[in-house]
Amino acid sequence: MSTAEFSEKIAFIANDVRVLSFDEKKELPGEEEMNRLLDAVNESRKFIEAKTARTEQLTEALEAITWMTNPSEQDLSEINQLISSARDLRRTLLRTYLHLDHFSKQKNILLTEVQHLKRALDEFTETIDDVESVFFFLPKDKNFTEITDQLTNL
Amino acid sequence: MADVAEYFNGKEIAEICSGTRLNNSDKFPYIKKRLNGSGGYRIYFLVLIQDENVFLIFIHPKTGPDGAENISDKAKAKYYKDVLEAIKVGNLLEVSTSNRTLSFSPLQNTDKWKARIIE
Repeated sequence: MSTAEFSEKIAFIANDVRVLSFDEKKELPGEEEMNRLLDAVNESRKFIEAKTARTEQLTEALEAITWMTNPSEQDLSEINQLISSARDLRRTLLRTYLHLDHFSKQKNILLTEVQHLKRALDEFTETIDDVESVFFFLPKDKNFTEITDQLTNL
Repeated sequence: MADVAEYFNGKEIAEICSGTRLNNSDKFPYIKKRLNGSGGYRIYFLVLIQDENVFLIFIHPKTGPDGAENISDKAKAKYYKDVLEAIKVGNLLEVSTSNRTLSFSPLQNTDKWKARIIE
């Protein structure tokens, strides 16, 4: 490469740098804009964390129901309705989660928070199934109930 | 297993009586406990409230090489039966939870439970 070609190349790169530098300065968000952006992210974080906390509370509440001893027919009917409502809620939460998961991966933000929501949702689903087992399936298993009877004699 | 050891270590009976009770018994709750969320452990244990004894029945991680899905109702019933049989024949190990680990050693005196089972 001749000196003239070098000079031309340097001038070309220098121009590129000047253009890029100017563009970057133009596009640099102001403090106010950055604060708005951070506020929006924080609001989204709070939104997801609130959903996660609420789901975890519901899971614990469902678990607590399994400590009800000798439920009446009326109790069982209400528990059955509760299970149906919980499954409906689960479907809605799953849709919310899928939407948030897509958004967070696309923007690469709030990944941990969305993962926590997924974990809470998995536990909620598991607990709904457990509650159904406790009140409607295990009591029909004669082998299972016989063991409880034998333990009662301990 | 440190999380499992920590969960039981130094706890009063009332404190570990939480989670999902599987067997409709106030005196002998058969409990499924979730530890550390959906990626953590599931512990199944039986509590003899009056004697303040805890019988650890089954533990499985949810993830990792030994990870497994939740056990079926059939498996829950089988483990329940297994623990009763183990109590009957005195085939029990004592679990200690020192230093955030679980240690197992043969339990010598199991007659107090065996004698009370009415066949």
